[in-house]
Amino acid sequence: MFTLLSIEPLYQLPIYFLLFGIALLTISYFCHIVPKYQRIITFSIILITLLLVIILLLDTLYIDVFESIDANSSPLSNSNIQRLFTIDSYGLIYASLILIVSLIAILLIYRSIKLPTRQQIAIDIAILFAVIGSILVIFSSHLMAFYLSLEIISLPLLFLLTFNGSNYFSLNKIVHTWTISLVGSALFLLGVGLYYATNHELTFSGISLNLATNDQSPPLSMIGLSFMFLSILFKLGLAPIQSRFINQIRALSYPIALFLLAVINVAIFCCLSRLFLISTIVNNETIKIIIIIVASCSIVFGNIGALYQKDMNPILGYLYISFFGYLLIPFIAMQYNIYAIETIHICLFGYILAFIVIYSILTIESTIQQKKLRLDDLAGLVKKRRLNSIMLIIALFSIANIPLTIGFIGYFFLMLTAVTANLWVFIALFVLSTITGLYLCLKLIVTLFRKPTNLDNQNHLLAENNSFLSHYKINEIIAFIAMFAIIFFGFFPKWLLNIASLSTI
Amino acid sequence: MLLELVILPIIGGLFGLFGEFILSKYRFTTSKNIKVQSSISTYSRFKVFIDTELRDYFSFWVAFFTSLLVFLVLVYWSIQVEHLSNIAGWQKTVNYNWIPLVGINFHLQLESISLLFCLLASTLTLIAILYSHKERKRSSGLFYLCILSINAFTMMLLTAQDLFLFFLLWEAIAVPFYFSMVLWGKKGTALINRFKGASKFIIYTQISAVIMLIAILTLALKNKNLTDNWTFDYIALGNTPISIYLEITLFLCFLVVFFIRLPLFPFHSWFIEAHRNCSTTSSIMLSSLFCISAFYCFIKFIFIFFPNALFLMQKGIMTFSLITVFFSALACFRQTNIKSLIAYAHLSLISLILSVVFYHSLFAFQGIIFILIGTSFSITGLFILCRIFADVYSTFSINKIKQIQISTKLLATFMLLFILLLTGLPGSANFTGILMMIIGSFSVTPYYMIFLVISLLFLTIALISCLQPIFFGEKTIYHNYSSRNHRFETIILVFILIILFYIGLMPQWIIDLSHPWLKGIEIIIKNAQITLTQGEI
Repeated sequence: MFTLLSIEPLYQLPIYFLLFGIALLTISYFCHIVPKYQRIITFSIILITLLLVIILLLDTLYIDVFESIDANSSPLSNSNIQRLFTIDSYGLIYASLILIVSLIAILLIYRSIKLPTRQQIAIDIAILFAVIGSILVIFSSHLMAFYLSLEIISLPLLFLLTFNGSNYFSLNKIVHTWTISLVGSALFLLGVGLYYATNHELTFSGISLNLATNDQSPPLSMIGLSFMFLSILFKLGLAPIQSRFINQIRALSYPIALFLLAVINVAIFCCLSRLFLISTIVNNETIKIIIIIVASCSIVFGNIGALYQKDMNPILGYLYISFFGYLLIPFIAMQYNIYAIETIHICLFGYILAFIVIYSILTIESTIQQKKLRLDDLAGLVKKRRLNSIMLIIALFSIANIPLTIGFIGYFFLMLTAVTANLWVFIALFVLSTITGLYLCLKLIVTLFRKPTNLDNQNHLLAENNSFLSHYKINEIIAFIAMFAIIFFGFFPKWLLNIASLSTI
Repeated sequence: MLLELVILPIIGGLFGLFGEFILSKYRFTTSKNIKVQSSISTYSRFKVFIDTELRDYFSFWVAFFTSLLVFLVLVYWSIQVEHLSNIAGWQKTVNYNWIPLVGINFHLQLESISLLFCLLASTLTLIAILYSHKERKRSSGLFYLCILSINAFTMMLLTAQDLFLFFLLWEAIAVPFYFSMVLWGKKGTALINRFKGASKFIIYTQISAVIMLIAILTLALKNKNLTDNWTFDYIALGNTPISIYLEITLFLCFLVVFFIRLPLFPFHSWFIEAHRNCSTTSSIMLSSLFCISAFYCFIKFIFIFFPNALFLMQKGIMTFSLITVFFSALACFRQTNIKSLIAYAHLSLISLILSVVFYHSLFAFQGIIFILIGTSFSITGLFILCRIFADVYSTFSINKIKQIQISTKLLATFMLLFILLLTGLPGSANFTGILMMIIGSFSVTPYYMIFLVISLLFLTIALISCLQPIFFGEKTIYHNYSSRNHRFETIILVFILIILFYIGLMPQWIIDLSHPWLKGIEIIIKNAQITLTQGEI
């Protein structure tokens, strides 16, 4: 627990709450006191825990940021940067966002996957552990803290990745995933060791200052940094090594895929961007070249790869990869006077909202049809469930950067960044990949309008009644709120930008 | 007042959509009641009316009255402006702070010239909506939402004073077009075929939008480096001093953008393919609203932003557009589909207009506006006539439509009349425009003008010789024309004819409305000429 001790007592509370929730869940895993109501009890435990933590984080944010008139008197502003964890408004905003998304993922799991109660509780515990890890990752400002938080994530993630509805434990897969995650961690540690051997510095601020000012770093430390980046890329699944990630995501059930794509990877990305936003690391040429290669590969492979997929999960996985490729552009352009943090904020927000809508609707569809969805399985959705398909179309519009959605605003800010920094190669890639992405999204949308081709799908269509809100109310309400946010922030991006300008690092 | 007017069509469309949705949920009568209509009270007759007439045509009536309201307000305003002594001073403005971080405002400004184009757009929308009554659409609420939002976006595009807003609308306008093309396209074609044509359309639009975004951002960045503030204001960016090389580069960017959108020769294929896949209503909207807005913005941007580059590259563009006029007139000869024939004729007239733009003669410029208005209306009439042929002969192929002068005398007269209107029948709007164009530009570049007149003649020959077989020939196919079925279209066609002749015979009010704007452009061009001759750039 030594990592936690460096945080002030007030800020430890959320973590304790989460641990307490896990303890309660564990107790309920082993005891069958009221078997009939056990499912409801565990669900309410996890719900209350997450809600309490969200309220706590938002309260901290409110007290420390909104109400402090004199900026210097705020406890956040003079938090010591040498610590393992830095608690600031940036971290608080993203931590609350991530908690909300994980809450949605849990709701979707409860709605869609019908499991024996004990397995359900096991998944809940894994998710809560992963949430703790993600929160710590967001707040960490020291390489060791970052490593430990990543390790907290990796074990529950292993559990979640190997889990897929029917086939509970596939040993082959566990060994596979575990080996790869261990290799990633080992690479990271090796990189940290090499870097420490030359620079005797492990805090983010120290690293970033060192890189920004020293053009000629010793090669050993550069090798160490490259190892670290490689391992983070492994975790994020970005382009040159994306195929493993896509294979991993192919078999996942939809709520867990949402949890992986919109919680854990967003958290890791937030930590990465904290490192990059402290000072202009990209002054260092080696780092700049690495980031440029990763970003351009991700943009190109992500968009082209998605075109040739037939399953829904890999398509969304590739879209995720191209999206995170776009998000690396502000880092490259950091030298110029740009709105980096606002750009990242708007893009991430739009991405998360769109993925929430898409995944909650896919969950409904896959539960009704009782299989992993291929592209053709979505045909005729407009006839079957009109409201759902409209929500899906708006989310796809947001991904395809169509105006009056939040995706368009994010796209505009990315373009602004790229033009300001004279990244002409990127702009060319950007144009091509935007058009590819648009074509893909239009293909998906037209699929929704097409008549279903295979016979049993048509029979299925006849059997269902076309009601306003179907049996899956909670999914639809979540999707509707997210869709409303997409349109609302597309019209009024000012408020989202205000939140972004609050977050200081 | 302007903001309410501009968003009124969208609100109307949404109202129609939700109203239809709610009406479809509740039935007031059972099917038994409808059959026994005699001997029932007024109240139950009202219920029957709601269940039959109102449910089917609810969104149509909402859309019709919304567009009629917009039209009437614009007519009222233009009458108001007409009686003012100082037309140049009249304007209505909306200005809100939208994204203050990068200095983006929601800034619309309605002046006399944009009032004229808004009036044109709303009239054409009204005609399209009236015509769409003929084609019963499934889920028509969404269809009318598309049509009305096209109208609203066009009006915003015509009045936008902020370049970000302009870019946003430029892209946004393509979305309802896309849906009206894919979901309610030509009858009897598979959705996948229509999807290919519509995808081509939206991908072209996206390319043009991205190129424009890059050009706008470069301009804004230059301005920001000078003033240290981000701004996307039209006038502020127009006054940004830039080097001549950058000006030429940006000018070429904008030229490509507008060539894609207008559309002109190398980028025209989406236009033809889109028309083949469209229903008649969307064809009307596409050929008129899309091109009007693109053309107006073309003049608005190119002349204010890049006068020097324009002046340097004037000869090249003029030659290019002359070639385009010939090319599209020649392409007319080869068409077998009557819709693509009309599309090519439209293409040829647009390039004719464009070639005259670069003369820098005020009188010719005024003529262009007349040609633009006349072309939009006559093309609309031709598309409606096409649809009638397709109803009677159930084909769009020229080879299969025969002998219309015997079977359908009224139709044949209309067809001939509209072809002549397109190429300048005396007394019509196009004739006035072409006359003004020739008079205005003959003194400037007589040889070029001769070529243009020849090409116009070429177009007339092409149209007549292509469409001549459909008037004569042997009667091979059984057809079921009766004038009763097409009474509704006939009324719309007569309405269009009245508008065209009214404009042609009473052109003064259009000249008054467009004069202040054209005067401003002339001053800018004169300044550019002076700087060029002095060798300052």
